[in-house]
Amino acid sequence: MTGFLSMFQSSVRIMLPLLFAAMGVMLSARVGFINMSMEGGMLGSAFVAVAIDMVTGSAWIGQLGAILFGIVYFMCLGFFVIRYKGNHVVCSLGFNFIASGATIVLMSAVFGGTGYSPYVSKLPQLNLPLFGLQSINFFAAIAIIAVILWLMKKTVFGLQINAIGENTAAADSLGIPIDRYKFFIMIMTGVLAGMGGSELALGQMGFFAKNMTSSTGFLAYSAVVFAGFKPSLTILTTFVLAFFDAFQMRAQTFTSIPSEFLLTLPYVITIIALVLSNSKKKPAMLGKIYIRDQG
Amino acid sequence: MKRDLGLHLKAFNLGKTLFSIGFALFLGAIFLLFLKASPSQVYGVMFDKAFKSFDLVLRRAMVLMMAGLAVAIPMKSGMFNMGGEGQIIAGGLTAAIVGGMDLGLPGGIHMLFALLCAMLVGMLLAGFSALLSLKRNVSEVISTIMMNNILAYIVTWLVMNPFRGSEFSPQTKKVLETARIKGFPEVEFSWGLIFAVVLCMLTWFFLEKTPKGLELKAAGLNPVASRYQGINTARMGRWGMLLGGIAASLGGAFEVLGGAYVYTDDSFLQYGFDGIAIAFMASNNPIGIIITSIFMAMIRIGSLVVSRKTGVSTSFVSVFQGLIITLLVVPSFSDSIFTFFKRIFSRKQKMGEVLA
Repeated sequence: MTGFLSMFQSSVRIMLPLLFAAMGVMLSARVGFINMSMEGGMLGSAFVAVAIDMVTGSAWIGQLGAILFGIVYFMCLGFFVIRYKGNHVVCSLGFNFIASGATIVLMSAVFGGTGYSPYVSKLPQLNLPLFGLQSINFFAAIAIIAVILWLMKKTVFGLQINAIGENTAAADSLGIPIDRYKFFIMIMTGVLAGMGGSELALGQMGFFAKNMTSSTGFLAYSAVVFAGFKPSLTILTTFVLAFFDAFQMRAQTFTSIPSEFLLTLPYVITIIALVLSNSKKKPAMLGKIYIRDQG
Repeated sequence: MKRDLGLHLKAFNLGKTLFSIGFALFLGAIFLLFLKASPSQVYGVMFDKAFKSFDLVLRRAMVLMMAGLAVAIPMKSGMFNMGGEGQIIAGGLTAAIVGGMDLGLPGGIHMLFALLCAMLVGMLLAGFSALLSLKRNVSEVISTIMMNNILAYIVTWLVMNPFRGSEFSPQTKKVLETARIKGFPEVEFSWGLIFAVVLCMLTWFFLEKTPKGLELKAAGLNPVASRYQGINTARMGRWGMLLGGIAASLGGAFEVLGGAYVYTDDSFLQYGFDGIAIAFMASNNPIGIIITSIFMAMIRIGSLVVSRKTGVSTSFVSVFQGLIITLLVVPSFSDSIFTFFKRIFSRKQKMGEVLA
C-alpha cells in the first residue's frame, strides 16, 4: 500500500509541470492556435528561472523571471502566427529550435559547464498529507486550474474565447476584438509555460540540464487532444501520462525489461491515447488562418 | 482533410534560396553579436574549416540532402514529416545490420539488398504515421515526434545488445566488403553522394514533369479544389509520407554503407532536424535542396572547430536554424523583406543606367 501511495505521489510530482503546460496548450487551442511550442517555452523558462535564481539567490524571483520570459516568448510567437499569420506548427517548431539552441549556447556562457548548471535554491517544499512532498506550486496549480475552469465555464469572456476557436468569422462579426483576445490568451499561455518550466527546474530538480523538458510540451499537447480539448478532462489525462512515467521509473528497479523499452512507455501510451481519442472534437478553427473578408 | 495553412509551396527560385542563405548568415551574425563574439571571426574559422575539408562537407551533405527530401516531399503533399530523425537512424541501423551479415550475396547485390531493407523500414515508419493521420486524425507532427523518441531508445538498445559488434563502444559490426558503396580515392565521400544528387534531380523531375507529381503537389496546395478534380488527396498525402520516409532511411543507409561502414549510437544526432531547415531554405524544391544542404553541411562541419577556437558552443547552429524556419515560413514577412531588397537592388541598377 505504501508503495502504491508513493507512486501516486511521484505521479503528482511529474504531473505538475505537464499540467501547467497542458493548460496552456488547451487555452491556445481554444482560440484556434496549435501550440506545439510549449516545449521551447518551458525550456527557456526553466533556463531563465535557474539563471536568475543563481544570480539573486531567490527561487521566487527566479519563478517570476520565468513567467515574464514565458510571456515574452509567446508574445513573440503570437507576433508571427497572429499578426503575420504564419503556419502555427512550423512557427512553433522554429521557436522550439531557437529555445533549445539558445539555452545550450547560453549555458556555457552563464553556467560555465556544458551539460548541467550548478545546484540553485529550490522553491519551498511542503510535506502534504496524501500528496507527499510537493513544491509550493502545487497550490498554485490548484488555484490556476480553478481560475481557468471558472473563466472558461462561467464567464462571457470564456464563451467569446470559445467562439473565436469555433467560428472566427462569426466572433469577428459580433465585434469581439479577435487579435487582442488571442494575444491575451498568449499571455496566459506564457504564464503557464513559465510556471511549468519553473516548477520543473526550481520546484523539483534544482538545476538546469540541456533539453531537460524532454518532450514534455509535446506530451502536454497529446494530453489535451486526448482530453478532447476539455479543461477538466485535461487534468485526468495529464495524470494518466504522468502515472505511466512514474510507473516506468519504478519498473526499472524491479523488472528485467531493458530500461530503454520502459523509457519509451510515455511516448507509446501517447500514441495509443491519440489513436483512441476522438480528435474530431477539436475546435473547428484549430490551425486555420483567419483573414477577415474585406469584400 | 488536409488543408492549406499558408505554407510556403512556391516554385524554385534560385534568388530566393540564395537570399535565404544570406539571410540566415545575417541572423546568425546578430545572434553572435549578442553573445559578444565577433561574427567575422566565427564565420572565418567556420568556413576556413569547411573549405579545407570540403570532402567531409560533401559526405555530410549527402545525408542532409536525403533528410531535406524527407521533409520536402511530404510537405508538397500537405503533410509535415518531423520524423526524419528517427527514420534516418532506423535506416542506418538496418543497413548496418544487413550489411554486416554474411548472406553469401555477391558484391553490389548485397549492397542493393541492404539499401532495400533500409528503404522498407523507413517506408513502414513513415507509413505508420501517415496511416494514423489519415485514418484516426492523429497529427502526423505529434506521432512522428513520438516515434523519434521511441526509436532513439529502441535503436540504442539494439546497438547495445543484440547487434553489438564491439566490446568497447556502442556500435554494430563492420559492414562487409560486399555491401559497401564504392568510394573515390583520397576523398571522404562515396558514390552515395552521386546517388543523393541524382535522387534529388529525379524528385524534381517527378514533381515538376509528371502527372502524378502534379497531383501530389495539387493535393498539398489546394486540397478542396484537388478533390473536385478527382484527386485522392488522402492517398497523395500517404504517398508523400512514404517517399519521405524512404528518402530519410536511404540517407542513413548511404552514410553507413558508404562512409562510416558501421552504425554507432548517436552518430546521426540532429540530421533530421537539419533536414527541416534545409527544406525550408530551398522552398521545398529538390534542386534547391542540393544547394542548401551543402550550405548546412558547411556550417555543421565548420562549427565543429568553432567551440574550440572561439568559445561559442556549436549549438548556435540550431538557433539560427530556428530563425530560418520561423522567418522563412511566414510568407508575408519573408516576402516583404525579399521584395524590399529586390527593390533596393533594382533601384541601384536604374541609377547606374541613369548615370551611364
